Amino acid sequence: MNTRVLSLSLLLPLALSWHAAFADREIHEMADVHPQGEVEVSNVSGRIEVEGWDQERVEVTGTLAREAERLEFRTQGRHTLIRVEHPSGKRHVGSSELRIRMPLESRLVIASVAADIVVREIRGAQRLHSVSGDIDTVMFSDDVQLKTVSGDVTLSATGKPGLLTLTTVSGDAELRGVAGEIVLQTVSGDLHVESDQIERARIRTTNGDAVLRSGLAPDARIEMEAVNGTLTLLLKGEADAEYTLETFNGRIDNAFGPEPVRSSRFAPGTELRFATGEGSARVNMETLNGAIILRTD
Amino acid sequence: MTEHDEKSRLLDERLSKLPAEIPPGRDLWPEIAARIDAGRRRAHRPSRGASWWRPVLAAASVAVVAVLATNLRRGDESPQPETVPAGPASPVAATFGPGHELGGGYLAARAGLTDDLERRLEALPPETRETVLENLATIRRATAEINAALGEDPANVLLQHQLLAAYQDELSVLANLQRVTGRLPMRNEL
Repeated sequence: MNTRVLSLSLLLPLALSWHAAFADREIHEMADVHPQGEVEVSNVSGRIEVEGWDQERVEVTGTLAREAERLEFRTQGRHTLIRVEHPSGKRHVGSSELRIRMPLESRLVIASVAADIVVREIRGAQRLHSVSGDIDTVMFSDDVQLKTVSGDVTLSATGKPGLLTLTTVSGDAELRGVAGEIVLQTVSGDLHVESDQIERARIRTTNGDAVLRSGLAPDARIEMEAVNGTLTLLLKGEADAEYTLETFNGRIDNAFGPEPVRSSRFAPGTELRFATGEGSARVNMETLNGAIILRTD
Repeated sequence: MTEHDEKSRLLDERLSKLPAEIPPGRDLWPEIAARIDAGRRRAHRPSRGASWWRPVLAAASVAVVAVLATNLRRGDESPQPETVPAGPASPVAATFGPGHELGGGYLAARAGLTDDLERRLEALPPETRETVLENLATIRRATAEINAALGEDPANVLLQHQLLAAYQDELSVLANLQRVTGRLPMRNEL
């Protein structure tokens, strides 16, 4: 009996210290900040959730991976830095989860490798970069810049004009409610864009497919390009536009306007040029091998 | 009028009688289409999973580029290959159609971006690294494919535009990769 009690008394502190050394750590930090400042977040792996609130404070809660060294949290002027730090040379960094609340009018900058990013209620500009983590955000009227390598992107916009720039390598993107100007580029990801009315769109893909489902603003400029991907434009409502559709070796499938014609006697190539109404908007679509589809929604 | 001037006048006269345009005797398109289709089959869309043949393909492409580089150093003026699915730091030829090469500015920009690419790739998770390499290869296959088509139809504005855009795509991917990894701690594994 005494031996058992002795064993337990020796093992318990060992178990507690093991738990302390290897368990994830809860974090809670808070600081007063400028309501229109900038919050910069860096977390290699795990999850980053950001929510805007109407307080002039930044609050960070969540858990720090046991492999992480510490959470760097500091404010200088209008800039707040939140960064999960790891000892140099560490091969495994573990997953840290950050839940951040910040002034909703502030700018947000996030960089991650494999952390998923979720952003809500941030009215300021957003610059979100992730290598393989997914990004899910809401866009208001300020500019949003999103970059991923293989991470997928989901964005809902409130329909107010702004500039959305998106670059992926293989990540797919689902964008809803965008307005104003969009500049999208991917190599092999698929792009789906839904909008009531777009003013400027420049969409470029190498092998991915791109679908733009939108109405056209009176002086809209739409440029869609692909090498091997399929380009689809689904027009909402009456479109007053001039169209130039051109493919070297793909097909043009148009639900309205005249039939496409061969653009050269001796080389391949099909083109279609026509206008509806006064043609105040411009639509240009071109591919090397990919199909071009033009329809009304 | 000298004898030389008279000869020149006669030559001009004979030249002016030549037809300005000579249509080809046969439709060249079926052959071109077959070559493009063959290129397209090779340039199929990359999957996200890993397969055994990728390292083999990468090794083969490095070997092809090495042989090409050796031949070029020896002054061999043999034509460029139709497709060059090379690795990220491999010296892929920067041609623009059959008779032009891109200038030193472009080459310097690409060299700057690929300078420490291998090190940056090492910092990425293996699956992401694979994705980046596959997509760079996709862009380079597209570039080779457009170049081949432009070789057959050098004045095609659509092809010229597509080729420029493809070169810009490559630089854009490299630049973005540099930006994304530049802000992050360099690590080998997640």
